[in-house]
Amino acid sequence: MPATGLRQKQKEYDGTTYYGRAQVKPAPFENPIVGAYIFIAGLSGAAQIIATVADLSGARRAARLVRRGRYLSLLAPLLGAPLLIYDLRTPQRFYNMLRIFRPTSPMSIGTWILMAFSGFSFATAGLQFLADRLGRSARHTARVVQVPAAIAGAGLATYTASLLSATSTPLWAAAPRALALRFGASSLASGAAALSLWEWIAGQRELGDELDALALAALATELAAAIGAQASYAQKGIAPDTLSLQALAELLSAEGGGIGAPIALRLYAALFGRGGRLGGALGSLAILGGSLALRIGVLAQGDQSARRPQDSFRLAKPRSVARIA
Amino acid sequence: MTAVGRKLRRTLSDRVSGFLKDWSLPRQLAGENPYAEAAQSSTSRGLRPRLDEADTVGTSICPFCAVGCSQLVYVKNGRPIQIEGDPRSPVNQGTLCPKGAGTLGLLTSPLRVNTVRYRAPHATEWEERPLGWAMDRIASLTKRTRDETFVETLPDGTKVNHTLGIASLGGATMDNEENYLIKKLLGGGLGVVPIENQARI
Repeated sequence: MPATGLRQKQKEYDGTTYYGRAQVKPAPFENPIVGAYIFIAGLSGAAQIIATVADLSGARRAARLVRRGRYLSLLAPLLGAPLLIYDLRTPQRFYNMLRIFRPTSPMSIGTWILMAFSGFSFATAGLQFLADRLGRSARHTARVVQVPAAIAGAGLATYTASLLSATSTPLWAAAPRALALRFGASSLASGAAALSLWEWIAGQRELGDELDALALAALATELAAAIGAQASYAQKGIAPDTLSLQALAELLSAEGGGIGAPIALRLYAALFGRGGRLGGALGSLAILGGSLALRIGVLAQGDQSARRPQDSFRLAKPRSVARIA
Repeated sequence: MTAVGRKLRRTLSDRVSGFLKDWSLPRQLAGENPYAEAAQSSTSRGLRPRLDEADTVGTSICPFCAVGCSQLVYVKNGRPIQIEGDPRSPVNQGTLCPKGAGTLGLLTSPLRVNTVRYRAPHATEWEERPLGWAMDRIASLTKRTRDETFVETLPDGTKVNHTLGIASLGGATMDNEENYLIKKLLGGGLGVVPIENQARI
C-alpha cells in the first residue's frame, strides 16, 4: 500500500466495528462547567500576561490597564477553582488533588499551574492594592512577582488543550498543537476584549485601540488554527462528511459570532466612520461569547466524535503497516 | 487490616491534620520518588500481613483436587487465620490456584453449611435434622434400593449379582483408603457397578 502524502485526504474508516457500537466513552464531565472553567482560566491568564507586558513597558498611561489586568486575573482562583471543585467526583475531598505532583499526569500539571498562578496573582494583586495606598516599594515588588504569574498564565491558557489531547477522544487527540493554538489565541483575544470592555464601561479610552488590535490579531490566529485543525482532521480521516446540527451551531456561534462578528463590526466602523466605540464594545462582547462557545463547542464535538466508532478506529489505525515479504 | 481508632464523623481539624500527616509534596521536594516512597500514605505504611499475628504454622495438602499442592496453615489460638502455598513443595512451589487460595474460606466462612438440611418430598423449605438420623436414613434407603434392584443372573444365564440402581461419584481429594473402602463396600458388598471419580472436583 503506497504511503499517503502529508496533505492527501485519508479515506474515512470503513473497516469492521463492533455492531456499530462506540469504541471509547465520551468524557464524563459536564461540558458547560468545564467549558466555563477553560474560558475563565484562559481569560485570567491572558489578562495577567497583558498586564505584565504593559507594566514592563513602563508606559505611564498603562497604569490603569495594569491594575485592571491584575484584578481580572483573580477570576481564575475565585471563580474557576470552585467550578473545578464542583466538577470533581467527591468535591469534599478536593484537597487530595494537592497531595502530590505527578509530572506525567496532565491533570496534576494543570492543578499545580493553577495553584502557582493563583498564588502569584494574589500576591501581585495584593501588592497592587498596597501600592495604590502606600507607595512605590510595593509596586517594584509587584513588578517582580508578576513575571512568574504571567508565565503561569500562559500555561493556564494552553494546558487545557494538552489535557484534552491526552484523552482517547478522537477529535481532541488528533490535532493537539492546533487545539492548543486555538485555545491560546482565543484566551488572548478574550483577555484583551475583557480589558477593552472594562475601559469602555469605565468611560476611558487609553489603550483601547491597542487592545482591540491585539484581540483582532489573536482572532486571526485562532481562525488560522481552526482551519489548520479542520485540515488535520480531514487528513487523518476523522472529519465527518456531513455536519450535524450541533456542529453547525458550534460553527456559527464560535467562528461566526466570536470571530466573524467583531471583524464585521470593525469593518463597518472603518468603512462608515461611525459607531466605532459602541461597535468596539459589542465586538468585545461577541469575542467573549465566542470564546466561551468555542470551548463548549469543542467539548461537545469531542463527545460526538467519541461516539463514532469509525473515528476512533481510524485514529488508532497505524499509518503504514510493515510488509512481511 | 484494621482501622484502629477511626472516628465516624471527621471534623475540619481532623481533615486538616490528616492531610498534613499524609502530604506527599514535602517528601517529594526532599527527593523521594513520587511514584514510590513519596506517594505512600500513612494507612499503607501501617498495613501488616495477617501472618504477623500467627502463633504457629503447619503444612497441609490442598483439599480440592488431585494435584495435591502443599499449603502452609498459619494458626492463632487454635484457629487458622491464613493459608498460603508452601514454597518448599516441588508440586506448586508456593503457588495456589484460586480454589486452593480460598481454602481459608472453606474452613472458616460463616456462610458454610455445617448441619444436615433435609427437604421432604414436595416440601418447599429445608429442615435441620440430626446427623445420626440422616446416616440411618441413607443406610436404610441404600439397602432398600439395592434389594429392589438386585439382579442375580442375566436373561442369558450369566451370574452377575449386581445392582444398577445405585451409582457412586467421587472426587479427586479422596485418598487411597477412602477409595479402597468405596470399592469394597459398594462394589464388592452391595454390587454397585458404576463407581467413578473425577480428577479435578
